[in-house]
Amino acid sequence: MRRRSPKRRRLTISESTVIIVRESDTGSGCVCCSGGMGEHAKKEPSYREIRESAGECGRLHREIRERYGEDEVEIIQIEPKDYVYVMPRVIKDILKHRVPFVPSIRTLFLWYPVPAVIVNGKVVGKGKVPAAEELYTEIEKSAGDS
Amino acid sequence: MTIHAMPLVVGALCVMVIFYRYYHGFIAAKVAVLDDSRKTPAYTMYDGQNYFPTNKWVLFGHHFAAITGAGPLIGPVLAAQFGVLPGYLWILIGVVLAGAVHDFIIFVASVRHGGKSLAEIAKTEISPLSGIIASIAVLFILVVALAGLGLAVVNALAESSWGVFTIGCTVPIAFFMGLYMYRFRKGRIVEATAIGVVLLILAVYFGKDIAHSSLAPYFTLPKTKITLFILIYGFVASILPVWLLLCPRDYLSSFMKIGTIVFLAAGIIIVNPELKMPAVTEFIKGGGPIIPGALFPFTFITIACGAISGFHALVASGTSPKMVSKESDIKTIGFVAMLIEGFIAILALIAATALFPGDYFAINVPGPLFETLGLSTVNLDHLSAQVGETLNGRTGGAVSLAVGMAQIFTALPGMSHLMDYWYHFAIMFEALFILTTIDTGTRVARFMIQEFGGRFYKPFERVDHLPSAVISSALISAAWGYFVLTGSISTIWPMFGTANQLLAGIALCVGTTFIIKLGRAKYMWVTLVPMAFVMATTLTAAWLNITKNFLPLTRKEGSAVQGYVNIIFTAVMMICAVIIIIDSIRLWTKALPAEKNEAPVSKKEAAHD
Repeated sequence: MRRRSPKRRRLTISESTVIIVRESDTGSGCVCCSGGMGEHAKKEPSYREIRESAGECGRLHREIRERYGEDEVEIIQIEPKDYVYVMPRVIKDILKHRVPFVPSIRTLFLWYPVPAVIVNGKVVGKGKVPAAEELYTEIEKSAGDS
Repeated sequence: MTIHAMPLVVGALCVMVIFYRYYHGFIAAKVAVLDDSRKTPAYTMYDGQNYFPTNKWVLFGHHFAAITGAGPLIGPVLAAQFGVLPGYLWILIGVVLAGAVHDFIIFVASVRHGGKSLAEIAKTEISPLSGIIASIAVLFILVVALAGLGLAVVNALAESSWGVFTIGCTVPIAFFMGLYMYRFRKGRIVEATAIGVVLLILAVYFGKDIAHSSLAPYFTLPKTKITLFILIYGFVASILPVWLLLCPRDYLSSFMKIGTIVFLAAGIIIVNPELKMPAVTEFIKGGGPIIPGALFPFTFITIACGAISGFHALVASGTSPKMVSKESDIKTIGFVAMLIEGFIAILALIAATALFPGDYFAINVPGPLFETLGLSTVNLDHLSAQVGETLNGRTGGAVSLAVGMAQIFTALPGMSHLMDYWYHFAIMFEALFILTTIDTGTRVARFMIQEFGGRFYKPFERVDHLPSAVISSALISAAWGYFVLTGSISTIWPMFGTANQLLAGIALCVGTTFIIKLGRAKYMWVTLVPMAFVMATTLTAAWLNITKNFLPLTRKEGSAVQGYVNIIFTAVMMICAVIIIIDSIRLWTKALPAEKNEAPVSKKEAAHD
């Protein structure tokens, strides 16, 4: 009996995910059993670059949220240390959005510098925070392609 | 009766799951009345940068990485002097009834206060006085914590060329990683971490060759020299740019931490070692050679972080509450992260108690004292030969934990000839954790001193003001360095435990006030009972420490100053805790009658009941 191929479900923007991989700005370490340079760290000059980069990630976060609303696009800000979470999540996005082989491998190996932005399983910005427009294009393209 | 590890591990997991499901479920539903319709600071104060809603599991990873340090590894190992049972029971009971409740309530309190810190919550909920006292307590506690953990590393590395070489290598490796990530190939954290891990493994591997080469004398150092090196390290690291040393070391230790703990858990489950330590030892009534004093109250302050840790309140009122996306997530993040820390403490206890008691005490007690105990070693010479180090008299807990871990790893198939490598890997793993504590802790304490100094001389509070940074770093390094140089594990660790538990007591006091002000006074026992227990045990222990341990020091020639300093430190921490309790009780006596006359806080909360 001939099996009918399953119908490709059309993905929508609301199923989009943006993962912002940013440098940790807490310098957490562990003080016995706790982290946290906390509020003090914000004043220190050697945190300037890290905080500027975090500020850029924050700007992007705000812009995406303003454009698509609070619930439309899932935005995840993450430190690279959270590999245990990010890897399965990226694999899930790659499968869900049927990302082609080469970009998938590129995303999976995560050999890119932070800050980096992964939109629906594809790396969009690496080493710098991309302009919000680049992300909108990718989000809308992903939804349109599927 | 033979005790095996597996029933203890499975039993602990079952208890934790049951308590999570029912007791903590009850606290979340009835006491804190978690309500997902209430917007968290991540939404109400949203800035996309510090305040932003975060996926539950992302935040769980962040929170867990921040709360888990060296404390749950060292404390249970030292408490093993009382036997397997006291430590096991307190970790288990403590973590489900006190530790997880403590973390959770402070987390909720911080979320409901817009992500504010513990001191700020204390200021708002209790009084401005309590806020200041909480800050002073944190500073004192930091110094003692750094000393306690620093001493563990010093004793593990003394006269060990392999260990010193390996740990020494971690400093240039972290520097290299910092330069790599932030200068050569900007931001490539994963690449830098992979290189760092490989270099660390090479450092462990080649450490053996160094120990057997003509270079060995250069790396075979006495305790005083190692202390001075660590002191200089802490001082320099707290001044250097954060990206150069702190951040890379943090990444390195985070990856090592998760990997090693998972491997240890799997090892214990597969090997299922027999625990050689009896259920209880003769030292439960006192006279123990590692921690002076009887089971009550010293077990409770020795285990410290594995059961309940005051420091967690700093994380639970730090970055995490600013990122939680809905209140129900706090249950998983606040409770489960602490339960896992308790589970790690149980694994550490198992690793230590798998050693023969004679061997365990020979490692953890200075040689002359061990001879007075009437115990004999069983396997120690063989273990020493296997690891290639003299193990006798290596006090501080780090070495016995490393030997225990190495023994478990070596029992895995195909690992039998790698005992020396596993031992040095475990030492490196512990030291990496602890050095992360030393550099971050010195820096945090430096900031606190600068902030405090700024009240008297304004430029002092500017963190980019080099003289202020140097003076405050030198002050803080000298403070903890003094304790490491003059103290022993039997004087410093109880002080550290006292400090950490007192901070937990203060946080539970703040939590109780929060519950009362929330209009849930009938459930205040949830934090009041652990608070009463923690405060009673800790204040008793602190008092016994002063009268039985530190006062005699003041009468001895050569240790008088140390005795007085220890007394002053312990007394200041006790006074801080007592002031906060009195201040809180004053508030409770006013708030409780008023609350009785009022209607429930809201219809929604009443409906929950």
